[in-house]
Amino acid sequence: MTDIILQQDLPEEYVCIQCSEPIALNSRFCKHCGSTQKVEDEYTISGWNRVKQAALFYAFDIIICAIASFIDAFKTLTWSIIFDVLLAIIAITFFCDNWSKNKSLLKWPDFSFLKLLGYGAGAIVTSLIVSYCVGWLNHTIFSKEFYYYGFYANQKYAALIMIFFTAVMPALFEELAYRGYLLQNLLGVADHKQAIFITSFLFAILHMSFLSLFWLIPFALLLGYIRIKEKTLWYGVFIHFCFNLTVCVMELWKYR
Amino acid sequence: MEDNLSIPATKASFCSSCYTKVNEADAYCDNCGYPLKGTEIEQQNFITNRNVKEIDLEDYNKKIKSAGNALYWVAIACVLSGIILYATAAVDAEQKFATLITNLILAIIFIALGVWSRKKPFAALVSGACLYAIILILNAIQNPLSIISGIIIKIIIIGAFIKGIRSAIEAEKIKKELNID
Repeated sequence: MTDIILQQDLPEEYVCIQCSEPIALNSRFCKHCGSTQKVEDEYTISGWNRVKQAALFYAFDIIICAIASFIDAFKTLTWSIIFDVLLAIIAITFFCDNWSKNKSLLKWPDFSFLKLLGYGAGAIVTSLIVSYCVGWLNHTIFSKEFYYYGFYANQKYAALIMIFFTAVMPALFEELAYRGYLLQNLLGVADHKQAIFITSFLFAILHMSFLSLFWLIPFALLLGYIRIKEKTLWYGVFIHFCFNLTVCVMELWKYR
Repeated sequence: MEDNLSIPATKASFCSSCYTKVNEADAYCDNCGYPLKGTEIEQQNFITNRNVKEIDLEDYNKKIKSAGNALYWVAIACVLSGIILYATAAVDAEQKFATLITNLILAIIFIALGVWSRKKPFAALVSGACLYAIILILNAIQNPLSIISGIIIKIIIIGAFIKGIRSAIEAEKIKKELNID
């Protein structure tokens, strides 16, 4: 009797890549010939080289964001457009560097309209709550109001420009850069949890604002988790877009 | 029952190198590649190689630990500079207070990352190093001379982070190979 149970418990059998003898799933070595079962492709880029490339990417992003948000001379519309375009170019360049591996993220394997709607609604509700809390905190602790619209207000198509540069561009290129390039890159070095945490933390501190750190980290963790779970960037892009668009619309409605 | 008995039941034993369960019929351990049926010399060579890797692992762990300590040092530096700025800076009280709070929050983040670096060194060290880099860059934008002040300490800290991150990657690899968790 025990033998029957033992045989049923045997794991599904795979074959050795060297000698083609059957071996257990997840074997690191063949039990018959001793050859390693690693897929060589995974190790073509070493972990350290991946980290160095990610560091280069992040250094570009930090410098651009630091200049854009802390040097007064660059706080004009023209410069902010230049910086946005630069960030987009960096995101695309690094994403395409490993195009053959990364292109699968741009596919949308099982598109579900209901899921998309659910994620969108969730993003809008969260955005309303977060912007209410942040507005209240800014008002009571720092006794100042901050809004994006003033930046664009004297332009001709102010509302459209604002929506494009605060909702469309960041949603697309931040997702491409962080949930696309960086997360995919780090997955080759660390496990899922560590990779998601690192991308979220780096994404949050890049915004260089203390107050936003507390909601940006959970927001980014969620985006990272969804990106891993759904194996596509597009849900993240949509959530990010809904989130930012809600903030935009609220401001337009408030200050116009 | 008879049929089942005719199949030789594969007796389970343990690999003498990585201590995972192996079948007695196997020629090699399917977890670490130990030659279970090899000659004594082959087995000894394998164990020696494994020991060399274990020594490497110890070395990497030391570097990871000192990088973790660097996170604590940065936290201490944040607290100290916060207090010094609060006591000496010639700005209004509200701004002083904001600087102090900022420094204290940064210190808490670095301490948390330091504690976490004992468990998940790679994630904690990468996060800490990036936060430190951002702080240095922002200080440099505000006052370019701040790069030079304490530059030797800064280089040592950055060096410790870089070595720590590199060691964390290598250590993870060796741990996987040797089946240590």
